[in-house]
Amino acid sequence: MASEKNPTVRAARRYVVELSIGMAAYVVVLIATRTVLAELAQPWLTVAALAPALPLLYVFAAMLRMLRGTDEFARMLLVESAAVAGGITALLAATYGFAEGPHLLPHPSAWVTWSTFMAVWIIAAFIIRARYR
Amino acid sequence: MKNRIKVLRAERDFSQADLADLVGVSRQTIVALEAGKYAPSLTLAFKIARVFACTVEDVFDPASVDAAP
Repeated sequence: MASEKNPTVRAARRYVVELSIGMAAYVVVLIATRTVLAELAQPWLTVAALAPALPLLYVFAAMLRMLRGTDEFARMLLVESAAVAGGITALLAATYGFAEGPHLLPHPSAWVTWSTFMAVWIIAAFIIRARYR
Repeated sequence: MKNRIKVLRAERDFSQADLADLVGVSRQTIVALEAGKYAPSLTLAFKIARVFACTVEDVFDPASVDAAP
């Protein structure tokens, strides 16, 4: 069993704590802002609409801290899988964009790109990790 | 890259987790190294060699690395 002195183990545990805090804050802010959104006027409408991005910024910072704190092999796996996910998402987005131009496909929400990236990242991480076993 | 990590670890009765702690990496990294599927950085190679009180060449087989073009 890896010990608390191991910097990679410490980085992973700190990330779990920070991710939990960030996601809990995200859910709270999202519910709170969406509850009052209909009653707000500008400029508070914009502030409330964008507020859930703040805890996500904290989660992103936590991911970067974890990436710097973890060992070189774990970092390589994360970066390689993120690169594959970014490339595939960009390729899909560009291909969709070409079909969207002449109205062959409907204009999707920006969330589709994010969801695609995350889904491909998870699959890519699983496949790339398996290659090194 | 071929290496003698598994042999050297067994000689010293270290588990993979013990070695991982000694060089500050995850056990998965040691698994990938022992399988020869991951070539470590110079820093990690020196750390591993130091743990076994060997030179880097005693742990890692330079002949198994493809020659640079």
